[in-house]
Amino acid sequence: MKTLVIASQKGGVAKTTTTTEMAIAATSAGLATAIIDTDPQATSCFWAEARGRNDIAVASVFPALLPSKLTALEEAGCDLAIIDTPAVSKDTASAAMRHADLVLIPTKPAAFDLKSMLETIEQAQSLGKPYAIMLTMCAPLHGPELNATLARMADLHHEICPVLIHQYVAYPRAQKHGLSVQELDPGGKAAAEMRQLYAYMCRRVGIEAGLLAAPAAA
Amino acid sequence: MPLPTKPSKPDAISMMAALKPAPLAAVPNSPTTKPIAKPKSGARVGTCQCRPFSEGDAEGAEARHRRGGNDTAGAA
Ligand SMILES: Nc1ncnc2c1ncn2[C@@H]1O[C@H](COP(=O)(O)OP(=O)(O)OP(=O)(O)O)[C@@H](O)[C@H]1O
Ligand SMILES: [Mg+2]
Repeated sequence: MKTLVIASQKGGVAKTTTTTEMAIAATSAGLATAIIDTDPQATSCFWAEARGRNDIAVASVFPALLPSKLTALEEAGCDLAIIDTPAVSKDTASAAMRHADLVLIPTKPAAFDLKSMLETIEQAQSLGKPYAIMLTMCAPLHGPELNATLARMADLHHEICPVLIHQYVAYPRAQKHGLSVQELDPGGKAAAEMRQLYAYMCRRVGIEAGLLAAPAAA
Repeated sequence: MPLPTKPSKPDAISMMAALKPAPLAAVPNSPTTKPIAKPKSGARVGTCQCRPFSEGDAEGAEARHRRGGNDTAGAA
């Protein structure tokens, strides 16, 4: 079993969005996938409730129980566990990162977000975990900020996910119904970016990307 | 339409079962456990022994009550 941790000390940077989208991509590619929600806001669980289908395992787990729950998942035959973490809580992020094969760090290309991102990177580095910065909610006209962010990251020799995630209204629209953009609009640009992100994640954690079939439209 | 998974893979429900909290061990009912009796209607609840405020009471039972004293303290 591989474990993907989505972490950022900054709030509202698409941690839960990335968690649920990667879970849908992995499940539709044939991987047995589970989401572990360590955020007291329980947004991933909320999404699963709105979804109202029993096709993705999503559960709230106390950080202290992560070792035993991950073992139980692995014994049950799970291929990929995705851990959604809360903003601000470094303890919870560390507890999750300890088990990570990859830490994805979503970040908006903006000054405040970059500061928090550097703290999250330090955490992953101090635990010796592979990580990647993932730029999210990039506006179509983000030009200077986006380029400045990319240049800064390159200077610091941080691993950057080559897939830029842009702003699309499809995300909130899909999430309202417990869906992913891949299901709401399989042919859309948002869905295409998510499939590319999934392929990148698979390469980094060393799993076959699977069929990469687009999930059935909702 | 449900998302496809390979037949040999566990489904979401069996992975949910792995994530569920372990059930608590059943605790047998104690034969000595009795429900807590409700006070009879009109019964006074509490232990304060203060006299009601009366005329000529220089400090007043209310004030002594607030201080945590009782009626006789300080009277001697
Ligand atoms: N690429 C995107 N384009 C447009 N909206 C997005 C995008 N990614 C996420 N959002 C929206 O941004 C909001 C915050 O996203 P999300 O809840 O995933 O962030 P988070 O990091 O998990 O937040 P928190 O720190 O509160 O857990 C949501 O309303 C989501 O729909
Ligand atoms: Mg979240």
